[in-house]
Amino acid sequence: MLEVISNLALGFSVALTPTNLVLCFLGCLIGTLIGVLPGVGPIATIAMLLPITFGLDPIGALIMLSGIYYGAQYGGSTTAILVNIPGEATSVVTTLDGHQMAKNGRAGVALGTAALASFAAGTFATLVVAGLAVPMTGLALKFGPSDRFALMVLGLVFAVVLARGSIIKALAMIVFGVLLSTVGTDGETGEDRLTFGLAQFADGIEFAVIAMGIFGFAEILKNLESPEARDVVRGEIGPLLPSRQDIKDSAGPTARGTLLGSFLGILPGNGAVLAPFASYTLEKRIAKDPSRFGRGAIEGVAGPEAANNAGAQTSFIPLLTLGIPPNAVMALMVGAMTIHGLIPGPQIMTKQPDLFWGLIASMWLGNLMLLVINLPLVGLWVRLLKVPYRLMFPAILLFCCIGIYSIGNKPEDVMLTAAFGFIGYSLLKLGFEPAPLLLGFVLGKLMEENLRQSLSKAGATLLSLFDSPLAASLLGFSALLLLIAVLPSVRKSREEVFQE
Amino acid sequence: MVKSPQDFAAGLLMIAIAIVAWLMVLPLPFTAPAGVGSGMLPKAVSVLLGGLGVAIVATSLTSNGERLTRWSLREIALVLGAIMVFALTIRGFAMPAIGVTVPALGLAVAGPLTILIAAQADRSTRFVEAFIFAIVLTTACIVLFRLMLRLPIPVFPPLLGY
Repeated sequence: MLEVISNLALGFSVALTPTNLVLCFLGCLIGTLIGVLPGVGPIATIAMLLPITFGLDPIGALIMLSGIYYGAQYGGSTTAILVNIPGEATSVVTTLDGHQMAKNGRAGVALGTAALASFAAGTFATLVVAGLAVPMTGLALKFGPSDRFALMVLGLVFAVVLARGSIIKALAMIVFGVLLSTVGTDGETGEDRLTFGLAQFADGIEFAVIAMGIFGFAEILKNLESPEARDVVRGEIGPLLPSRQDIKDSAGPTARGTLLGSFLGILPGNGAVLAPFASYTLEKRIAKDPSRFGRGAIEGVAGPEAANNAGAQTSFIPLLTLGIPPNAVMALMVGAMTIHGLIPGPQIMTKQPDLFWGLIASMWLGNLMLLVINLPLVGLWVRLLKVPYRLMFPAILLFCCIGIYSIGNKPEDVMLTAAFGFIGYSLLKLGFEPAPLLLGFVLGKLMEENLRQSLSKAGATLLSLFDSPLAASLLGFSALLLLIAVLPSVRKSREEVFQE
Repeated sequence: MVKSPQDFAAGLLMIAIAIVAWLMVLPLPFTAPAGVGSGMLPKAVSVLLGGLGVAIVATSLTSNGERLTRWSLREIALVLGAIMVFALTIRGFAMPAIGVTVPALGLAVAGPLTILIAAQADRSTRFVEAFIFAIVLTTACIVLFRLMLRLPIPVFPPLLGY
């Protein structure tokens, strides 16, 4: 406990420097600004804003990026409540009761409750991250390459099981992502792989190219296709602060949502995405009058929002301690860290404790800032929501173009991103959910590395992977999980959870 | 019979990707003296992808699903075209194979050009509005990226000197 406090003190001494405070604030502000735009989720927001962090030092860049992430998440909830358009999967649930509350003239209370519940959840989750970081890192340092490989397999399996929609299609996206990660000159033998003979592919595909192509450009193409049905709440936003009764009603859901989200976020797969759904289902089940849900029940906003934010926070744990990104957003963070020359994993905490604890402290500061920025600025967000898409998409497009060009000052990267925009659009048209692709792409590289290391001993065969008992049990568990997920009975109950 | 055309096409696409990838990595060794060969992961992954493609096609034959929807070719052409124009003109682009060299225009010209082309993809675009917006946004981008963030992006055509 004492260690946690002294570590957090170190963190705050880093995060509270004027520069880092300003970066955290700017990140939250810009993240919300972009995240509020309908049809722009956190992945697109982070991918788009990545270039503005290039010139910063690594810690400032990471602090700003995580600020952008929370901001985008929070902006997504605002859009969900006011416009009934979920910015991303995790705010789908907020549209159900949040938008109904807005229609009942309680938009302000819904926004205020979302902000307060998120803040409470974020505070708790920051403590969870701080408390678990040391033991998890200690554990991670004992892992061998085959253990890490097995853990990544487990992470991918979790991501498949928890993905929305068809399991086979999610699996195909992950595998496609891993395939894309093998493009480029082989690091060990120097052989060209899948490069189509193009020199540009020799160093592999830049992850930002894939991220912006699929989440920036392809999304634009998809949005242009479906004529907008924006249902912006008219009339008064109403008071922002929840009444005494509202607070009483939302305290329980917030606490339960926080616990659920904190736990699910730690899972190696994309557990965080499940958190709001699970929280909503739970609240509806234990409510005295379940029929109120879907008609503007405040519990249906507080619980899922808390779960969402807690999960978003604790999903940093697998990334920072094990070096394994649990979801597409964290995969983007891996990419960002690589650009700044950092390799995510246990060595970050041992070698750069200031960066590690500074980031964690800034998480809490970011949450506090969101509360401070968002409530007074609600009027601005409402006005932003009225910006027509015909102006929004060219702006997003130009931003992405400048961003990709700035990564390496190569026009070819921009062209390649256009190609990935087309690929992403094709995938969307064929009913694929592309987020797992990004995860597969980032994990693919790490997996091959660890596979190589674990099989490099003389006389090693694929079976050597099972030499370590931990790796063997993780791989066995992954296989079991995948098997169960494909079984029809589980599939049905899984659909029910997502249907809510 | 195909009961889910969308899944049917989706599966075929995965199979096609898998076959192309498989053929491309065919000459690479699966194993190497040091264990994993350069071909192991791509080969294993393309086989897996092909298998998943077959599975998706199989489910499309047995269970009902989505239909295929029309592709908005005009929007695709305009949006991707705008991106290509940005890529070609931002600092100029030489294509010796066809003997064409696109001149460098810099962000000040390439920016508005990109926005105006892309904006045509939305039928509700009004030219004057889009034009003013393009100028304002480009100026903002120059201030943000060049002046504040100091990214080395060309701003003006070299004739004017930047």
